[in-house]
Amino acid sequence: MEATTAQIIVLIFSTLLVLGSSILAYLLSINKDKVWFFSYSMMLIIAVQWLSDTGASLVFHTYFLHLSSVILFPSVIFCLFIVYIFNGLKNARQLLYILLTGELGYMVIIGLLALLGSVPAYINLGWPWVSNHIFSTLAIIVAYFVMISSWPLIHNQKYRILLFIKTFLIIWILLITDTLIFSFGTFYSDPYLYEIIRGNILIRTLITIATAPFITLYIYRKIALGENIEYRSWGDVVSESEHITAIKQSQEKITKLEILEKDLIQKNIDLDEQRKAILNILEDVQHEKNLVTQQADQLRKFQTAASQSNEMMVFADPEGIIEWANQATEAITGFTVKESVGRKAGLLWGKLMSQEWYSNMWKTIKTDKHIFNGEILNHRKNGEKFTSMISIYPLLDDLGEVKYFVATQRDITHEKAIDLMKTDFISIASHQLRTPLSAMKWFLEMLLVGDFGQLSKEQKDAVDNIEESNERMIDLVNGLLNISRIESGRIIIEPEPTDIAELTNSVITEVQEKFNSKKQKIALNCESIPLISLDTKLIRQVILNLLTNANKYSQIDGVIEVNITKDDKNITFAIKDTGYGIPETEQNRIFERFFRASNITKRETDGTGLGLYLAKTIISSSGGKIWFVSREGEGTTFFFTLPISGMKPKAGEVRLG
Amino acid sequence: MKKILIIEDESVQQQAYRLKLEKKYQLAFATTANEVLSNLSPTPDLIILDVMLPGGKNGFDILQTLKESPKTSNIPVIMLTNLGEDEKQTALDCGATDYFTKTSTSLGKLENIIEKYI
Repeated sequence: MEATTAQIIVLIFSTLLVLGSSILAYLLSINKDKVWFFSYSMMLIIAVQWLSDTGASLVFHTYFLHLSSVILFPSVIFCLFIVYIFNGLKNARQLLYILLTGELGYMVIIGLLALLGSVPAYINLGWPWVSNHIFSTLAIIVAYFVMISSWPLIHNQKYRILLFIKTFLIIWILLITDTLIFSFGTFYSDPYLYEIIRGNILIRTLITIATAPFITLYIYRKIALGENIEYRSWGDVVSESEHITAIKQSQEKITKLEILEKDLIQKNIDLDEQRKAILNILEDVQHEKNLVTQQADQLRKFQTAASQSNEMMVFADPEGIIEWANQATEAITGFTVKESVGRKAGLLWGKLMSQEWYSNMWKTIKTDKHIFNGEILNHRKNGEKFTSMISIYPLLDDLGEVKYFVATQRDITHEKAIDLMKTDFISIASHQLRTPLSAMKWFLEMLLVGDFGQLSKEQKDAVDNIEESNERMIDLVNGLLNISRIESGRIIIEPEPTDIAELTNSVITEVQEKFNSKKQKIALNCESIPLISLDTKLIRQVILNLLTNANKYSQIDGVIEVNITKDDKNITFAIKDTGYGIPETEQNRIFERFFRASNITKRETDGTGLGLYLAKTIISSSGGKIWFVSREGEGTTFFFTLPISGMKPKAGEVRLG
Repeated sequence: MKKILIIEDESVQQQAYRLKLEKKYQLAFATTANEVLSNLSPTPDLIILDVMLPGGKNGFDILQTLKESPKTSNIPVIMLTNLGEDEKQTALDCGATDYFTKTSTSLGKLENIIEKYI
């Protein structure tokens, strides 16, 4: 067959194949979307290409090989065109990449190499197969590098793997076996082997047809359905490597930056700590400030208290020069604060006490550095004298030297006047109440003794009654005055060594007449007791009151016993009578002022109800106790104790009347 | 008849003194310190002295005056007062011969005292 005729036949045939396969694809994909159309058309074109290639290998080697190349290129261009029209440039480009990394890449190269390899055959050099397949082997290697080089163009990992498998199938299964067997067979020209090789070619072709197009189809369908393989241009790949360099540089920079960042973080931590420290300091400062504020508040309170106090208050330096004085100073002395500050208190309102008094004061506060308390007479600005209680406190510095004096003075002029009035009242009351009583006493006496002529019996009885009442009134006045003296706390206690037995005896002697008049017997039993320090006037009053009661509240012929005993601590008096006794229900009230038991008020109208109260008051203030045991109708025993150590002296203002 | 100078401001008590003592003694009465001075001639044999008196000076002041003057310092002075026992010690300290309270002293007792000291 002429080459030209054969070529025309191939052209027509291949054109018909392309058109036919397109029509078939169209028919297959009818009622489906265009995706299927492209898929089928691609599959059919590739199948035809492979069939023609296989046919060429089996029967019409050279021509069909040409045919496959001739079919392939237009059909590929046709498909790309269709895809471009329907799916746009992007998808067409993606398809081209798939083909380049598989069938097309291989075919372009194998075609070119086959053509190149055919040259020796055409010029009859005698080794067409060898040269052909040497070039084929080269083509395998080149295709492999094409595949490898296309690898970075594909971005998705999944498509990289799929395309790798496809290329592997085409190149490594098909071409390596093909080339090796052909080369082998060609060198040994064994006819059997040649048959075997043909069989193998058939098998590997079928395998390839069964696998590689389906992968291509699968990928293409994905693309057509919108899944992007994400191919990149070579420019992108190149710039990527630049990017990688840039990234590496960036990473270095990042590393540096990270170090810097770490540094920065550390510095931040340090700063944070410093901030905390500063906050702590600020807190401390705030705390200090609060303290100071509190102290200032406190100081204000004290200042207000000091300024507004009714007591005169003065601060002076160690020389006694006034530095500060409160309002009361002005109110009491009449000297204004302004007049007082900077001057000595003594020169303002003092100089009325003795020189000795002042030197003692200065010695106490300045030399001994003690508090001085005393009563002082001063004068006001107008010359009026006033008495005050003064306290002077020396405030010392760290070295123990006097830094300031703080002096407070309370004007007690008025209090003293009141005290004096109270004392006067007792004196006046005692005088004024007694004056008419004593006058009555004397006139009644003159009446009774017959100075104004003898009285009839009735007259005498009447005057007797008046006299008795008058005496009772005198007792009452005396008792009341004594109580008011004792209660005022101003009673003088003047203990002196006393023989208890002698004191008691003298009281018994005093009241003996009264016992005699009621034919009562009185006995004294006294242990040997050493002298004891007692205010005889007070204790005498107690013994007298108890004996008088025993006498008054016992029947005629009664027996009264006085027993005096001592132990380690106390002397105990027991005054026992066989009298009327105290009703049990009233026993708890017996020491009350003006209380008189109901059983005796019926018998004895005499009595003030003050005797036992006075006795209890005296004994209590003497450090002793007083109590009694009594049974109505049988008698009473009164007990009182006195400490063996004696009574303590007390400076007072009044004595018992 | 011995002279007793009674220093007493209460007229009722002056009356009592008179009724009781006038028959036995020559009585002179004074109520103030000045009256005392004008009644010192003839010199009394005994002075009965009250404490609370009008005119600023009390019994103690008079007692002091009497004791200060050699003319009168030897006259026994019995203080008889309506004050209490408080003043007894003071009175004795000031030179009083004795001290009694009126409410505890009957006129009979007073007569005995006068007889004792006059």
